[in-house]
Amino acid sequence: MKQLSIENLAYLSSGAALLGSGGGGDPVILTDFLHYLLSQHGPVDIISLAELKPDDLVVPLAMIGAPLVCIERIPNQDMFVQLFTQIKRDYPDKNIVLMPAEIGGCNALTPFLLASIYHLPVLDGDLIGRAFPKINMCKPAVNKVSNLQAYVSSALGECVHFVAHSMPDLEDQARQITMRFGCSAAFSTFIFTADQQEKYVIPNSIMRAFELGRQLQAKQCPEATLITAGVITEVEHRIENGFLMGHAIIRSQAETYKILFQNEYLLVFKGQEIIAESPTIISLLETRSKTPIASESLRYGLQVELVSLAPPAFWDTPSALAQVNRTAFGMNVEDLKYE
Amino acid sequence: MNKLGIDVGGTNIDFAVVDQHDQLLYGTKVLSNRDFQSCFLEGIKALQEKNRFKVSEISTIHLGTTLAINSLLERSSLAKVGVLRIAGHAPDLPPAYQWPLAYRDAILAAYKNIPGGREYDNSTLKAFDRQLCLAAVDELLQQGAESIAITSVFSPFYADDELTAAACIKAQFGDIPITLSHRVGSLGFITRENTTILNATLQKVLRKSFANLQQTLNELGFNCECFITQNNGTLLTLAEAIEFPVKTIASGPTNSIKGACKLASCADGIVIDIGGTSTDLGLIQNGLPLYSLGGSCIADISCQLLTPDVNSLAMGGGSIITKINNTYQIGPTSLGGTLFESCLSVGGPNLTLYDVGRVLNANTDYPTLSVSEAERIMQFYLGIIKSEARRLLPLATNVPILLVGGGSANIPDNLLNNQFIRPNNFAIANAYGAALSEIAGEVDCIIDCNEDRDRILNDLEAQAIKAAIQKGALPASVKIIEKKTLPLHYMPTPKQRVLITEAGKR
Repeated sequence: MKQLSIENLAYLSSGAALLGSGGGGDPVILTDFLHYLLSQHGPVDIISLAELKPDDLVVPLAMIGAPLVCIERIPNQDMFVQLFTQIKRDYPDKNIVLMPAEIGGCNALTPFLLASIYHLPVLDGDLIGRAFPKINMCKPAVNKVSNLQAYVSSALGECVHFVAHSMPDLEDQARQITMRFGCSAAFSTFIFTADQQEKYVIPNSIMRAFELGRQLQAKQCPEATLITAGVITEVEHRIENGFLMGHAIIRSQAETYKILFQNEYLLVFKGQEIIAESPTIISLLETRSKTPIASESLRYGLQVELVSLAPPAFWDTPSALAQVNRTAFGMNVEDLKYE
Repeated sequence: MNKLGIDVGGTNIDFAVVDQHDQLLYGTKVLSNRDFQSCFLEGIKALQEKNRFKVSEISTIHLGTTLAINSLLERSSLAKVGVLRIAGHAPDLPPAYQWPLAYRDAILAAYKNIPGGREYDNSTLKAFDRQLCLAAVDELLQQGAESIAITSVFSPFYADDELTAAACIKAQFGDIPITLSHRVGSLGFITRENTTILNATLQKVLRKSFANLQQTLNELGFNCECFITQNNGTLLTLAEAIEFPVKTIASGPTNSIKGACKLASCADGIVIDIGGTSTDLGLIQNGLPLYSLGGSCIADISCQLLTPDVNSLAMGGGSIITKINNTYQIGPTSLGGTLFESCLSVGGPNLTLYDVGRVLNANTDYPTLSVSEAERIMQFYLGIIKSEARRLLPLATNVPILLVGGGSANIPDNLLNNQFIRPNNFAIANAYGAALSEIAGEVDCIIDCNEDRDRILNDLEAQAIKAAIQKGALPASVKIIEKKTLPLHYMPTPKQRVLITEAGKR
């Protein structure tokens, strides 16, 4: 049996940051709180898909809202306890197993907060295999599952359960309620039973994050392909429709690279040529420490390594690709080239 | 009229006298082994004897000090802090949770959480309750708190609860030191709280050391104001420094980088400051140190201070050198203050860079250290700092490397290629940097992006300029030092944090 403990928490945290591809919220914002809960309640068990039992109900969990609110009005137990109480009441006969909704970024850690309090197991998988900005950019959405209900609960112990009529409606309602709850809340959707897992789960995400984190901490990451090492010579940040958009220019000895982001790093130009794009996981590591750098932390003069990692195989199918390629992000390549 | 820059360090007090064109006229160094007043007097006397220095020619004094950082690192003269959180949702994570234990034990007296605080949109998280606040502070004081650190949720946007709390605490308990988080930090509850606690704990030592500073200077015949240099290279009034000591905590590296830069007339390059126990490498860009943004760490405590991005190696002039097979290890142990009692040059048992430098500069063997071995050791040390310099700036192969600090005297000229510059007066770069500091007006606030952004930014710039002039800057000399807008993304109403610093000469 594998476990998350205060000893290996740092691996999960830095591996999740790498898979976050610049977005997903910096895991650091939940690391201290999780460390505290693990020190109070002991380690959390991580189970594989093979260990899932027929009566298990898998509850994907995330923080929803603004990461910035989450670092200011820091999370408390109440929001997770309330969510769990409500789900337990709705599914009295099920064993609850938690799972990260999104392995990239801070939400890799979110289910472990609740798991530690109630000694629940966490399933080694997630819905995405990296980070993406919208709810419809996940495996169950691509598979068009019909189960469109969700739970949102607040730091003051309020909880809302709702059923949506469409995927955009699900996202819209969840964001409306989150706003009402101070713009940072606990969130669960795409709850599924053991027999439905094939439509929902990207398997082994947690172990992948652990392994990547271990490699980063050893300062060598064979799984990540080095595109270039250089210095950031230009950064532009702007906000559009609540997303952090912009670009950064990286200069290495001989070449110039332009990297575009919408929360996550989505596209890399080398000169006029696209050399990496979503769903490939694109990440920037601070050269000295090998720390993944979130898009909001980019700044002039940083020494960086630009790396790419293969996304989970699921994203290679045409129907999946259509949800997360540059067209889905509304990117017009001609407008974006480096002048 | 001239300016006097003073650097109060752990081992030495350095003095630098600078003319109105910022040229260094002369300076001196005295040991900081007694009380302030005696050391100052000795330094002033030395300047008078050697350089016909007159106190009446000084129009302003800029003092840089490592008092705050040393007091923290040595955990001496720290005030016990009572931590008061105003957080209606009662977060479980206790304060100072990830601090090194030694600091937590030395600094934290007790902790209380009370209702209050705001949401992002200014709606009430929970109502602030005066009685609960007073009861909490009463308990903090009973548990030994000497200084109170108050952090309220979203206070950088909405400071009311912190201000109300401070007012009712003063009314009830009198004049106990209080630090309000919105005065020392921005969004980020834990790092702002950490910064607030550090400020609260440092109030005692600065109050003690500096309360009589102006009087001391007046007694020495100075008829001018004394300012304290802060982390970003600008000046605080004495009263501001006493209230916000945390803002002086990283001024040392800032001063040495600025001083080095000006001494060598370089706007870009790498500064290497070699002291007794460490070698600090920093970058300069356009004459200013490169700062680490966001995650700054003081004594392994993450906080929100703008500190120069300095890479510190635990090897300096007094570090003990050991030979291992065919290579050497320098440091991390340093002889520190006992250098002149136990190094080779005085007949002691320990080999240090100081000895290596002596042998090389005299070109004469010691019985236990030949010139050729000394050269091998020095080349080994230079190899380390060159490779560290390359790591800092991998692309710029030919930028100047500026050597400053007392320890840099150990390296003989013939071992330095023309990439290295060791400017005149390298040993007092720090005090010179302090003298160069300017008076700043700062604006740090959060604006709505939807409104007329350009007009707002212009207004804020004007505010910063006005603040600088009010503090004594010459209007014509005021120029912009920093203008940064940081988008606060994912917020339902788009907002930006704006940081503007305008600074000018006195």
